[in-house]
Amino acid sequence: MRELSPFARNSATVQYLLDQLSSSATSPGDYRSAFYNLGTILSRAINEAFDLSTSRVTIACSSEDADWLTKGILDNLTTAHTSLAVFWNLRANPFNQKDISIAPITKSYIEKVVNPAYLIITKSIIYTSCVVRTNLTYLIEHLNPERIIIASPVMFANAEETLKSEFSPEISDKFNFLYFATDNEINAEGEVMPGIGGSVYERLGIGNNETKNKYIPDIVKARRAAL
Amino acid sequence: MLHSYYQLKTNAILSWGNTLGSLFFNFKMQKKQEEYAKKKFQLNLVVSNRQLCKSLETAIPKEIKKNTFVHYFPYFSSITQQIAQDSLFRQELHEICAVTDTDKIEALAKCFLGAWVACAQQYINISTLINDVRNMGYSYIKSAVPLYLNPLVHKILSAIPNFTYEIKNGYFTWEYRKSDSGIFRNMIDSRDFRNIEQDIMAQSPSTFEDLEKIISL
Repeated sequence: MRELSPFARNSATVQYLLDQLSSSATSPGDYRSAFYNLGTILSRAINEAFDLSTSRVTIACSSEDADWLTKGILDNLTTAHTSLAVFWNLRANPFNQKDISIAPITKSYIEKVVNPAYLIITKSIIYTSCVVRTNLTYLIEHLNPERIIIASPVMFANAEETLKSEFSPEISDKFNFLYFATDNEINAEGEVMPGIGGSVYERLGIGNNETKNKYIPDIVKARRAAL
Repeated sequence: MLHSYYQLKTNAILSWGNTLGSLFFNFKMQKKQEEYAKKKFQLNLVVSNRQLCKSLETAIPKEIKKNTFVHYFPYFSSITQQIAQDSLFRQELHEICAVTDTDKIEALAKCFLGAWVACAQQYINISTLINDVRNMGYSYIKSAVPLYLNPLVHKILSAIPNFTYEIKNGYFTWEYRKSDSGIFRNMIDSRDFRNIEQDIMAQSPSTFEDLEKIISL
């Protein structure tokens, strides 16, 4: 069952975009646009909840989320300075143990920043938290942000508590979660229902779990060239 | 061969006892069984409370004292927490992990856990467990022997501007300027990496952007 956040309950646009993600009929192009537009709306929610206008901010994501969800946030965020961090994670279940998941970072693109006031970590959907936790751990160790915003259109019902429980209170106290919906059902394939309509890599048209790391986001290419 | 048996307890309150089903009873039965089989053996009790460890160690019953040892090993609710909170555990993983990043150390720990669960936690020795983990790939376990890159691949990579690489304990790690970095998921003697080497030699990339398409997996 899906539960909308108060923000989403009052927005027909957000509800429409969430439905686009969960519908199998949505084309890859519209699916990408839905994420970009949800990113735009998430950035408005961030701008309203936090005054970032004089702050250094790092926005971090997985490679598959960079060009759409993250770009939607990045294009509309009001900050003193925003740096980008993108991670390519290898997602696997060692020895096919479905309860044991890993997401080591095989590659990263990180723009230099010293002690950002805010870290915004974005994810298309947060379920087991494995990827978010892995990337967050890396960023906390290397950047030491003062506050952490975890922004995702959809989260699994207990994902917030699960993620918090993996960190000490002095770290998890820095967390602020922003999302539009929580779902509490999992299908036989282990996907959140209605969630974001299945494998995000395949829905975005960038491959599958095996090949998605070949995708180099346009935003990385453009920002790297401008460094 | 020494046969070692371990019993793990996370209880905060525990004593040896002397009744049927007590710790003492279990250890005594195991001792009798091993002595009957004329085995060289050691019985170990592992507890997650340091104070409890001391008190149980002091109170080992005379009948099993010669073969019984009590150890302290802190217990946390997840591997992540175990690595974050237990510096000794992390240090042990450091020793066998090819690199020092937390995510790789965690991957290695979870690969061992996966191997352990997959073998139904019995009839497996440590070297088999290590080999299983090593053969699986993406565990980031150190190579047992030095590994080297193909000289032609080295020549091609060395000519790419702002790109540097290093073989760390059998794994290909790289950096491009100060922004990009990575590590190949398998050791460089793996089939996956040999295929990458073949592609590098065939395509001879001269820029990082060209190389990136080949090494991203």
